[in-house]
Amino acid sequence: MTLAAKIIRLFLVLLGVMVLAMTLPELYRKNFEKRPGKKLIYYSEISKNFMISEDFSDTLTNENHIIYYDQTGKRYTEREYNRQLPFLYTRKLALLGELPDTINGNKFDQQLIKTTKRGMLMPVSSFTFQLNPLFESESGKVRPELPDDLFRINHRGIEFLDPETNKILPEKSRSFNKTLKAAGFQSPARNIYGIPSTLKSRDDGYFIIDQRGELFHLKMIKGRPYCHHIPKNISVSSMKCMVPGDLYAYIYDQQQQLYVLRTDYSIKKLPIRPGNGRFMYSSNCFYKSYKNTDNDSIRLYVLDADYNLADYHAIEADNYSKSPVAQTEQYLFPLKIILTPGYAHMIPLFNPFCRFIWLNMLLLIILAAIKLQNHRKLYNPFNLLDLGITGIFGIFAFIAVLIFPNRK
Amino acid sequence: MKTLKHLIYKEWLKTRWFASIALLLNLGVLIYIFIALRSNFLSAGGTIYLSTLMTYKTQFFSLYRYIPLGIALLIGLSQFVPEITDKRIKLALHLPIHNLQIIYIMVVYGFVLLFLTMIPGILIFTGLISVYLPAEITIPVLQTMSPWLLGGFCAYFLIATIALEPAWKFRFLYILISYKVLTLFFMYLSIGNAVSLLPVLCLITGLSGIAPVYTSYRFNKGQL
Repeated sequence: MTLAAKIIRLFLVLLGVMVLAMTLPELYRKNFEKRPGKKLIYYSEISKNFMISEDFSDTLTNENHIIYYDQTGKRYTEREYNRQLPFLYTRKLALLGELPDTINGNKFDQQLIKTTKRGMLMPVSSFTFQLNPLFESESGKVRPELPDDLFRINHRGIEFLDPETNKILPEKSRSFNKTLKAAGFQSPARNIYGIPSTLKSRDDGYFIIDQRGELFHLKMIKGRPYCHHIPKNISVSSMKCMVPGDLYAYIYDQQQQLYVLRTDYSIKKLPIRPGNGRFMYSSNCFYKSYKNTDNDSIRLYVLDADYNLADYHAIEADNYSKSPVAQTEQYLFPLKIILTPGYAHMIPLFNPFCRFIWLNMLLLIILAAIKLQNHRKLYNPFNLLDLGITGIFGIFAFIAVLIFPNRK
Repeated sequence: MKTLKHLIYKEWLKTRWFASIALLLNLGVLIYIFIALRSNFLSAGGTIYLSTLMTYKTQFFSLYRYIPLGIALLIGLSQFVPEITDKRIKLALHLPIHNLQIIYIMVVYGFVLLFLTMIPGILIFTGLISVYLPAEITIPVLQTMSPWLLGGFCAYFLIATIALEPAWKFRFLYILISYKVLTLFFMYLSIGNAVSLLPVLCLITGLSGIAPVYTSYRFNKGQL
């Protein structure tokens, strides 16, 4: 083969390795993974206990049942369990007539129920349009109304666009630019965070990171610009703005540590271990709970109204990585390539255990035997490279080398 | 020079009707997308339409997703299937030009034809939507469509690579690999999120562009 064709073949082998590293581990898991039973943990505002439900299912015997217990191991029936979590099972308890009259001395009515908020917090960065509607923050109406323009902040400063004509509104833009400059804002904006939707009871404006990384709060109050510089000593990685309440937003720093930005512009670090950065949060007027699930455990942090740690509990997560199927996978694949959510990146995840080395060596020996059988010279550099790639990438390279043959 | 002209004319004779269909398909779909956009924009009003588009990240252009792949199949198959039928490409390889040069004249012809079929339509489409959409929306739209365009080029080069492979068992394996490679270009990604994948996709497209060197060498040497 000419040198060029051989070199190109090597690149094709590496492409084959990449494709197989994306495909084979996924196929293996889809075919052999047994879904573990689901475990859920919540905090009871009534008993101040951690309530756990565990799902047992067996597809062979078609059995399926759930057990309920608290952190002390005390068992509950389903109805007792539901009664411990009135904010979670409000509708069910209402239908059964088992809603509590009071909780912690407060009447359990619609007003209390409305304080419940649930959602997901993720540090993942994803694309957002850097063009947003700036709502009137004090319209006096039930909900904010969609404005007739959209704003962006580029190197020329803030610009308001008329969507109908796709043209800039110079007067409004100049007026807001003056206020932004006076507050110390330096264009362009790195990121703009807010809730660009009318589905909220009040508009809290937008939080903008300027060119230097400084944080500003931008609003429109009775048609006039408002911009406030928020001092901080953290580097903001992402923010999630909240519908009106005691918080403006959650902030992630570069290490995925979570903070809250309160309505008095104070930034408080949450007493929560970052972990993988993904949290299910649930809050009401009494407590705020943050649940983080990773490979080993499910951790539930309970914070009081002031975001101080009130309680904490962790339970073992019954997940794939502990199963016999996952143990076998470690002997097979030296790595797998995944695609990240949000901004798509192909990330190779290398197998931290070296158990695959035995299979790699065996495949290397088999490949060498095949080459010798075909009267190939093993000391040839390209044959050595084939063997080397097989030694490193194992089964992926073995298959790729055979798919792209290297004839004499 | 004369031989080059004859080769190009031979390729043109094979591909002219398919390229015409591809051009009409490309322009037709893009113009349809623009008309739908304009109609929705005018009926809902600019503010509501743009707010909804940005909130839900609506892919109003999703109809175009597999068009570049279709164009690549039309041009690639019309160009290479006649060559591999009864190994007719051997006739061209008897010309007094280096074999690799002949192969690459064919591949470059197909690439240029693909380019002329797809890119002018995209440029016209960009100009049309820019009348209604600001750059903050137009640019992410194009970034989201870029993997599909790259996928079209990659598919064409892979068709050439597979066609030139002499052994059917390896052709079959290359088809499987090509399928998995092309899924990277055409998988669903929300608006704007594909931009981080573009360098990898460009690399893969570049590699697929030189892949015919490998299979054409195997073909020339009669390797199985």
